[in-house]
Amino acid sequence: MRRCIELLGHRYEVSLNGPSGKTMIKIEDRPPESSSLTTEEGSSFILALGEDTLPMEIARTGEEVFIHAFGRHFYLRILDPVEQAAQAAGSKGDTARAPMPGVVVETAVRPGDIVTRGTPLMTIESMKILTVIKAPREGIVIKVHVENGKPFNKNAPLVTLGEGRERPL
Amino acid sequence: MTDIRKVLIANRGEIACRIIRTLMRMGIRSVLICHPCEAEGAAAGMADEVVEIEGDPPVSAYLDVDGIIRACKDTGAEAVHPGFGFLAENASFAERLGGEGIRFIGPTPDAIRLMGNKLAARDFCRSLGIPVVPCAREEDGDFMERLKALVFPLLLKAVAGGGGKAMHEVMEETRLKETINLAKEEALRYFGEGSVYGEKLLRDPRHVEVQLLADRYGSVVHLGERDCSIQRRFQKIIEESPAPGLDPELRQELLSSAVKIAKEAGYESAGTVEFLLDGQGRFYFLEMNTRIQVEHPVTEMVTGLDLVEQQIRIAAGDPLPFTQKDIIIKGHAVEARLYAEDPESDFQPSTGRILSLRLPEGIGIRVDHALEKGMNVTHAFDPMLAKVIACGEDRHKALDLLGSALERTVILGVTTNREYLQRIIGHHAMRGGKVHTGFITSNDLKAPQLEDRQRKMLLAAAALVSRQFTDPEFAVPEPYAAIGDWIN
Amino acid sequence: MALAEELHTREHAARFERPARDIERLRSQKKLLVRERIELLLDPETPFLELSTLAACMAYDGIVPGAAFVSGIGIVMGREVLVMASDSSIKGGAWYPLTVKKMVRSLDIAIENRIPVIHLVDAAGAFLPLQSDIFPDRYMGGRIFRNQCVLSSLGVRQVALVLGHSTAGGAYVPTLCDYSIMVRGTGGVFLGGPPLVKAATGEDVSADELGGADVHSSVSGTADYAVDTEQEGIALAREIVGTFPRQKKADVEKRESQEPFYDPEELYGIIPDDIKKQFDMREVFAKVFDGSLFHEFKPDYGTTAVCGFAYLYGWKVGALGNNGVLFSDSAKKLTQFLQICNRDRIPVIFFQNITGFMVGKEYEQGGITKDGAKMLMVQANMDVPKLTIMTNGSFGAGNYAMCGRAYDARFLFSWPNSQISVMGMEQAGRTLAEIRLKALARKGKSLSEEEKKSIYEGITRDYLEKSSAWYSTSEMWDDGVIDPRDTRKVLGIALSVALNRDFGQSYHGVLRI
Repeated sequence: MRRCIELLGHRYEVSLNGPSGKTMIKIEDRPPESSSLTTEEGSSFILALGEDTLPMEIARTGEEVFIHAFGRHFYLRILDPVEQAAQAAGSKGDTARAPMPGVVVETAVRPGDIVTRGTPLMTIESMKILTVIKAPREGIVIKVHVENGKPFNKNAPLVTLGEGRERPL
Repeated sequence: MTDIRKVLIANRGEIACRIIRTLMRMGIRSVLICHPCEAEGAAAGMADEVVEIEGDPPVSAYLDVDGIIRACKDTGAEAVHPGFGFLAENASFAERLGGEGIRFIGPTPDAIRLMGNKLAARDFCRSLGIPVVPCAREEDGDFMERLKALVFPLLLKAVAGGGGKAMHEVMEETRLKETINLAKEEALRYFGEGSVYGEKLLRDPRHVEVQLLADRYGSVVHLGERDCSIQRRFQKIIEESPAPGLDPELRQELLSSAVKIAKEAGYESAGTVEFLLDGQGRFYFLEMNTRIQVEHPVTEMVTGLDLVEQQIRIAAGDPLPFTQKDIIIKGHAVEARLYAEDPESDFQPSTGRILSLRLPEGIGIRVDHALEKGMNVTHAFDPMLAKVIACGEDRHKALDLLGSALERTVILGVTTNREYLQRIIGHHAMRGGKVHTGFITSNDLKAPQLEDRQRKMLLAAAALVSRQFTDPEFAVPEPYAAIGDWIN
Repeated sequence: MALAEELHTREHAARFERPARDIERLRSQKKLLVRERIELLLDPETPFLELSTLAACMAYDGIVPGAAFVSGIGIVMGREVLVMASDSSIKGGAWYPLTVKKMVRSLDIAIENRIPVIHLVDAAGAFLPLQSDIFPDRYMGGRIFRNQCVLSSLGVRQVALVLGHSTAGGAYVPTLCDYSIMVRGTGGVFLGGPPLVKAATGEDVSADELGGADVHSSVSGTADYAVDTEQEGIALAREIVGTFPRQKKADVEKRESQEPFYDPEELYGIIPDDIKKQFDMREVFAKVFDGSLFHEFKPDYGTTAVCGFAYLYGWKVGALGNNGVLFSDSAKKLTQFLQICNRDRIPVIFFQNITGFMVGKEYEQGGITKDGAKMLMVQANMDVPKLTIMTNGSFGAGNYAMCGRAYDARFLFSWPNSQISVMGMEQAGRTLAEIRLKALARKGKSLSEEEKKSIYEGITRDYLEKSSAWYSTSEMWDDGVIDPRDTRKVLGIALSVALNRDFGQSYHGVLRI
């Protein structure tokens, strides 16, 4: 029943009411304003908001929206409220994730290894720099997600840890 | 006139396109090697012939010496242009080509070897009386002690290195051992050789380099200097020619030192000698790059010369068609490197698909790129997307032109440093010519605050566009869409 | 309007006002509140038509708001669904008699309208002290599961998300669904819970071993998916609904939708403060239908009834309303109109404001009963969907003729001012008072005027309370009390839901009666 949009690290609740052409847009608790978006050609659009109009370049892929407006580029994310809530509730810091896209150079642990906080798990290479991925907490290595030499994207899980007494999967 | 009729380009992306453009103009056929993942790319579209070379990871295709030699033979290419990076400064590659009767468009293997080994190059320059930064080398023993004797901060470098790879600052003794190990590991990985050396780290020096052209008959000319001080992660992002506010005497000293090095080394082809300038008017030899540089377009714009063409002619055995007095530097040119990276999160590379693309055009503007709408920007290759170069009568006009060119550049779908470059270009320190390698860390380059109204417009556009593009399979049916967010 | 305010106050209380300790208990179990679950489940920026929000508001001393159950229509992945969710912030979501009634009615809606159901299961079980009103009869507990089975055979999909323990009969709710998702830790399905097992066989077993998410998804097969959090479960349920076919609507004449020309808020000005004051139903139509357009049928005949064609969110509908008591001619006009609507496959909407059929010698001799029976006969046997709004009064046989609860309107909603009873409050009050006074007189008691008045007032107060919209909705004689200004939206969603079921062709001619 609500849409959450992330812009420059902040999240805003935005809701649309009414059919296209007569859409009222409400951002957070501000009074709603009439709003429309007309396509020029390709990725060129004209946004009308209340009394104002503004040409924009907009491209979208999945939940990511890229906007070029007032000489600047903006990246916005339309957040799925369910996924957002799942993330907030889920992660207990038991998976070391990739801080940036790259390739695995060397893996220092195997499933079953016991690690303490800060134990090097893996060396990755990205942007011509080697980075050591360290254990976020103590535990037992349950899974190594990416093999040596294989690439991964930002935020990809690299190594998952379980509780000290758990057996590896 | 050159007798080369077909050239193989052992490179990719924008430099491949740039080389092909010169080949076209010279009436030379082009052969491009490429990894299958780039077979649909802009460079492949421009080349007369394309030879695909497999490799995992994809970069390895461009390092596959045997594959490249086979491609030359199969296509009858008589020469190889290595561009920059990859095999451009690999002496054994140049040697292998020579053994196969294929010309390497670049210096001789000996010259590459001499200048490619950082320590050998230092020694060589010192022997010519050119100052170098104090350093400590691993093989001299007592490496740690010698390093400490240089006084922190230090800079660790790979002996066989270049391009900012495997370079690490060490600010204090406690981190020294750890950093040495990391640098050695990287050096081994990138250059096949793990030896490193340490240099005294100069505080916020300027990086000024001299562009040279030399033929095999001993003629060497310089094409002026470039200032490449604006760097992040030891990599240049803005370069200009001429260097702003350089003392004319110092400038002359740099130029003649560079020419001297090339002459004494028996250098041929295009090359660049890099210097560091400290705040006290001293200069130090940093290294020599034995290839075409990323930033060569600024020199081309102020001299009117085509450096790639000159490289090919020299490789064909032609003498330089001009002498030093024929070289006239006219106007001022500035280059900005557009990267797929996020300056807001420590310049981490970004990936994505180019959904919308509009590049600037106009008199005095040049864009070197291999971008196409719909192409994927992956982490498989270097994240540089394009170089935007502007040339004007003077530095201010060039900067103004570059600023407006960047503002008109639209690349949607992947986060870029475009705005960040714009902010550097517009910064008063940049305008005042106060450039040094610490520019980025010592100046406030934060994005301006968004106005409330602007924020609202962006959010409205995103919300509306997301509705407009919703997969019809999951579109909200009427009357629900018309009713919107409501509960009875 | 004061009553609309009261409605929203009551709704807010029924939805959100809970003792802090109950909320804390759920939070400590890492459970979401039922409203939060539904909000996450539904698509962004889509409406939710909640049904019977005020069920049980006048029962059980008001401690079981909404009958501890939330039911309503919403959109998940672009598909219309009926959400049925236990409210575990009230008595652990225990089933009271009215909870069962609400669940059965909700499933009836699903059956009648072929709308997929998502069950959010989190109920403690039957409220045992009232078991005799929950368990045995035809429309009690067993009907829930029977309806689920019928729904399945009609090809209507059901998804269950087990977010709490679901014991005994309740265990069948998820088990009878096509897809069942259980949340590890909090979700459990068992015929007999651990205490009952211990009592019956002496076996000591933990809830997780007995019927936890992993047991059922990987050992017994009673459930299909196990997830770690409620949020993951909701995401998965959404994904499953996304695989369902998009609903095809029955073939009803459709044009471009238009908002009404008149502001729906103006409805407040139409509703009289006294139930006896008449108002023109055409004024209501103007605030509800597309472009405020209404084509009236037979405008000069039987003028105490109004009927004609209008469009609602683009769909053509037949609208019927009362502008007074029903006479033979007005009943015949409506009957003729209903025949046309049925033959032409036009859904009909009844706007009730009816005191009944006219009585008296002249009218009986004119065949008023016969004409009323004609209307019942045609109305009861229509194939097209019927919707009913109680706008003001609904008394006597007029309630039947105008498609009251017994006549299977797909949905029936009341305005907060509406009253319903077998006869008007004043007649009924007088009749009852007279009976009482006669009985007292038989016992030889003579009463002062004061005493007579107080007896009369007591009777009318009770009668008034039981004929109020609040009592009506508490007992679920409707599908909810709505704010009059929302009538268009409510009817739009109700009609859209009703059109999920195809109603074929008609081959009957229309009688000019």
